[in-house]
Amino acid sequence: MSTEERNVGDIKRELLERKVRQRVAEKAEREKIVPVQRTGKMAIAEQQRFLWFLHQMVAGAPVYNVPFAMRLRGPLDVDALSQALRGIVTRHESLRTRFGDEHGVPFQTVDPPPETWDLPVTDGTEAGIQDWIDGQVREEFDLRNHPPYRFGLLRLGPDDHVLSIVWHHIVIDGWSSRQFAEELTARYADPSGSQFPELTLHPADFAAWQRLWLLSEEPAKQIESWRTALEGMEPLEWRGDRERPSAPTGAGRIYEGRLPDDLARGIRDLAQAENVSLLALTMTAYQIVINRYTGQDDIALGSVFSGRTRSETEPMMGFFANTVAVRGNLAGNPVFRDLVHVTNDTVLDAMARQDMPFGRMIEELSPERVPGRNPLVAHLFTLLPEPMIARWELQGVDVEMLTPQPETTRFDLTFQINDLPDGGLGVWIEYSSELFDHERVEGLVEHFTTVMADALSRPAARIDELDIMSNEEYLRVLTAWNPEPRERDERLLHELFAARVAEAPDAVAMRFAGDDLTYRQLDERSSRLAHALVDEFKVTPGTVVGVLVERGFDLPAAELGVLKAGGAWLPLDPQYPPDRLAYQLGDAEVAVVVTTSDLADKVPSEVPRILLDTDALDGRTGTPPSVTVSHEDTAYVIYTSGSTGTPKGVMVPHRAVVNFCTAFQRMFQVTPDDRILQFSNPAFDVSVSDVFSTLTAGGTIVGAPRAELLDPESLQDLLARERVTMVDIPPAVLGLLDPSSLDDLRVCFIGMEPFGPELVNKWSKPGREFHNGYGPTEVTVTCVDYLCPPEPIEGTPPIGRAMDNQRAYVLDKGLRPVPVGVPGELYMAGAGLAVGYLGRPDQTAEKFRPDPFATRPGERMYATGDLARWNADGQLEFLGRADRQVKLRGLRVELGEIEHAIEGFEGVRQCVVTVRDQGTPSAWLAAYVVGDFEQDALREHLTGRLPMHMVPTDYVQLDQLPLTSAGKIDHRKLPDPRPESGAGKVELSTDTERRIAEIWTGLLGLEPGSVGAQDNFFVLGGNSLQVTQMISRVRDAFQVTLDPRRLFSYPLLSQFSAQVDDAQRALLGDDEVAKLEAQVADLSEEELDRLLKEQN
Amino acid sequence: MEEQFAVVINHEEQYSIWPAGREIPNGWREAGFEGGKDECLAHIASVWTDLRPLSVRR
Repeated sequence: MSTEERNVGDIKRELLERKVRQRVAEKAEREKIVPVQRTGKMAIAEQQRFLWFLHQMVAGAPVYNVPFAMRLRGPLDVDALSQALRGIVTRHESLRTRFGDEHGVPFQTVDPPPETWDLPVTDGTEAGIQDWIDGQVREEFDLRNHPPYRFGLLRLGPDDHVLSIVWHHIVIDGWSSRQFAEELTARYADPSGSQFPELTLHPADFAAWQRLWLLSEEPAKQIESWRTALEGMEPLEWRGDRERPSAPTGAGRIYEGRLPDDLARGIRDLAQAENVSLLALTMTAYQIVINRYTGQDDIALGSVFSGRTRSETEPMMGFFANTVAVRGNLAGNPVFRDLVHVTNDTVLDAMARQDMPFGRMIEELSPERVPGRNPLVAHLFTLLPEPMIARWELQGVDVEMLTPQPETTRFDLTFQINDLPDGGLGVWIEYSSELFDHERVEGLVEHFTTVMADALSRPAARIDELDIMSNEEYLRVLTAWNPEPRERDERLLHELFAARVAEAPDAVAMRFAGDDLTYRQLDERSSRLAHALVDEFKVTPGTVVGVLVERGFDLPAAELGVLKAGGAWLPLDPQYPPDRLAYQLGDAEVAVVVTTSDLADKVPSEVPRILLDTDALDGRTGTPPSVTVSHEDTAYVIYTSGSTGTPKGVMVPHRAVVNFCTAFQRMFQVTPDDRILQFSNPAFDVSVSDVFSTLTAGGTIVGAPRAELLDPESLQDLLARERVTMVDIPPAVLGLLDPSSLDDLRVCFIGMEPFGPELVNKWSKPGREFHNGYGPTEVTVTCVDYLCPPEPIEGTPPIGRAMDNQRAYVLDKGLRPVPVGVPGELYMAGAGLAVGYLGRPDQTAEKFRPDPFATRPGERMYATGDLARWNADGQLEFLGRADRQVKLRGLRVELGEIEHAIEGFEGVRQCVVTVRDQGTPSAWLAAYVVGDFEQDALREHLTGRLPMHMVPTDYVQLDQLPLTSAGKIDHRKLPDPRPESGAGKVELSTDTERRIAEIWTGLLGLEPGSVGAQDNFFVLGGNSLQVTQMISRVRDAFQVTLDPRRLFSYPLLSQFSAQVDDAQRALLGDDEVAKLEAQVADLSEEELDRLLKEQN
Repeated sequence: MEEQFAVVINHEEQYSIWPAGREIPNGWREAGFEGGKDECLAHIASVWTDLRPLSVRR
């Protein structure tokens, strides 16, 4: 019984297995790549289609040329070499393929094998080798009309040659290079090529198969898992050495090197011990470097896989390699080893999905296109496995590889590890020379090497603990690039003044409106005031005294008087609205206000005041009262308004202001002969410099009423008449002056806001120093300074280095120093620090932090809230406010950078840029601009300077920017740039617009009639691949061929239509257009009506 | 989780905050309060009544 049952069961099982095998075989047969019929226009693979698109985008640059060049020493059989190459071209159809497109859809055509074939041979010399191989690689391929390869031989002598082999990437990849080299070696040795059977399958067959595969269920699954894997991915915001050009040329450079052998061994050992791939291990270390560079936890890098997932593709020479995105999540500070395993899993997942062509993935996921930047991933980390490293060998000939320099790059940066046959690990980097300097790339390799070594030594460490910087770099940025400490003057601010009075009592302390005030007069007057303050208002150290006076002799007298009384002065601007004045007086608990009769009514009645223009000071002693003041006592309080919250009073002690004045004197070698302009509003701390840098050096302050200072012509006269030697004025004011009549002016100390090179080049000359100064009130007037060189400069000057007894640090969010070139927040430490914010212990504690790098214990550092970075020369570059960075559809945007670009446009006086609908997918930028300018010209100007996503959509012209009482821009009062927004689309007004709208509607699958004149192609869902299709359809409809990049500059329908109109007119030429215009102008109304009807 | 800080104080009795768990810079010590940034700052507002450095308080 049981035997019979078993038999039946066995039979059933066997039958089932047979059926399964049969079904599987059938399925495999159906899915096999099979030869397809050759026709004139065959489909190309998706990888190729995407490359074809990119090839169009780079407009002729040889970005996708793949070169090999080698020196061949020894007897070379040129015929055999030529036949070997011909044999390869004959066997591999891909090398006989041309490409074209129809309505934006590319196709391929296979040519028959060449009947006659010669390897071009040129005579050359040793000195000309590099130029020749570079010339071979830099020449563009005409893929429509010519083969996608270029072979050439340079004959240096009878037994000395250089072979150059260049292909277009569209027919070859790393795997194919290795194949090519092997086949060349074999065919050279055996010209019959008998070991190479004819191939039955070629890339065209794969392309046909891929089209079918894309229609199956599998791709949809892969897309879905990609979508999940890349959901909400942040693009990497690695700031290059230069701004990203809006129309990049693809210029690039190659770095080649090798990791230290012991490090390579360590990497191999750990990968083996952890059972992870070399790619996963090295990529994890790289992710940490990029995390430190960008501050981002979401690190998406591209990586290139072979794409040969089907065995039939293995013998084919062609472009199968595929880029995939590998996304690392570094949030939560994981342990290095754990992160390696996560990366390994992510890489394996990506491999499982690598059949999905990259271009198709972009199309499906359609991330917003930024012009001049590769979509989805612009930064690659990849591993070239040993089996893909080509070995070039020719029997009897010594082969030495040469390095052609295509001077192009495909991505922002590709960091490639080469798994070398000798067990070492090579580093090959191709990078955009438009974005990065060579030093930056060397730094990248150094940081990668450092963090890799650190991680190998302690894989159980959390990633935050790992060092990416070498000790030398730490020393450089923390110590070497900060000044050596100098001896500090232990005197009080007014004691420095007293010393000058003693030296030269009759010297002129101040000139104002043609009158002189001597040091003695100023000394006596301020001493009398000090007595009054001490006697009648009980001023002691720590007491705040308001100073509310117009510019003139009263200003230094009042400030010095308060100091001599032991108090701290608080400058009050007579222009302040009453509520701001009252707020400051109350907040600072001002004991008394020093003022004059005409301003006294501005002081709230309950606040005591002393009037300088009355008899209040009469009969008081002209020598200072005796009070005990310490160096840490506050000398002055100045209110600053942060971007948020109410203004806060910064308490600056004698120590800080004395350090500033002595540093200033040393830096500019100030003498009693110097005449220094007092320009700044006394309520700002630059006025402290104007007054006290001068008085502590024995020089003369040159003052003038406000109206005279603000009128460029009278300011120019004042500077010339008074033979002013030094100025500290805003760049915008300096820009209005003429240097020619100001030969006495020997120092321009310019700061407060960034400025361009034009200003420096206009003013800087031998005998006149031009300084770029930087400093928040909290670090006392100026703490970082750059002396511009006398020769012309290009680009915005850096802000330089910390001044005497100060230290500048550029730190990341974890308060660690960042490497050279990497943006971080600027922190300042040393003698310039304020005591804190008056009455605000919490805000003081938040901004004044323990200084972990100080040599003296217990010091603090101030968080400036400004972004900066070290350049390669050890100078600080100012990059804007940390809190003015906003996100626009996931892209980081620096509003200050946009404003700076707008203000660089002729006629613009001032501007502010804001984000509207922030945080929504339809967020956009609005620019509020004061000045006389053409909006379209401004947009054009910006398009040439800023990445597209940073060019504002709307421009609002204002007479002036609305200000808060604190004098800052009042964002709430900025008008709505689109008062009728929500009304939806803007009507189409021209025939061109209507026809373009039809094209967009069809291409993007939109509702007919839904596209308006102000709609943006990309916001409507248009992606990069559809750009070429669109351009092609526009060509069909309008007979003009527009550069696809135009669309990125003019993405609005109305703008793009105008471009089409312009192109059409350009096609005809001005004369013909003029003739047509004349014809139309001559038509009568009736004729016009008739013609229009006919056309409709 | 919100980043944690420790309230720290130096020889001049100046207060500040420092990431919890990280080595405290030389010359500073813990003041006995830890929490989120805002909690630490609120604590400081309640205990640091004289902003002047200890050496100049009279």
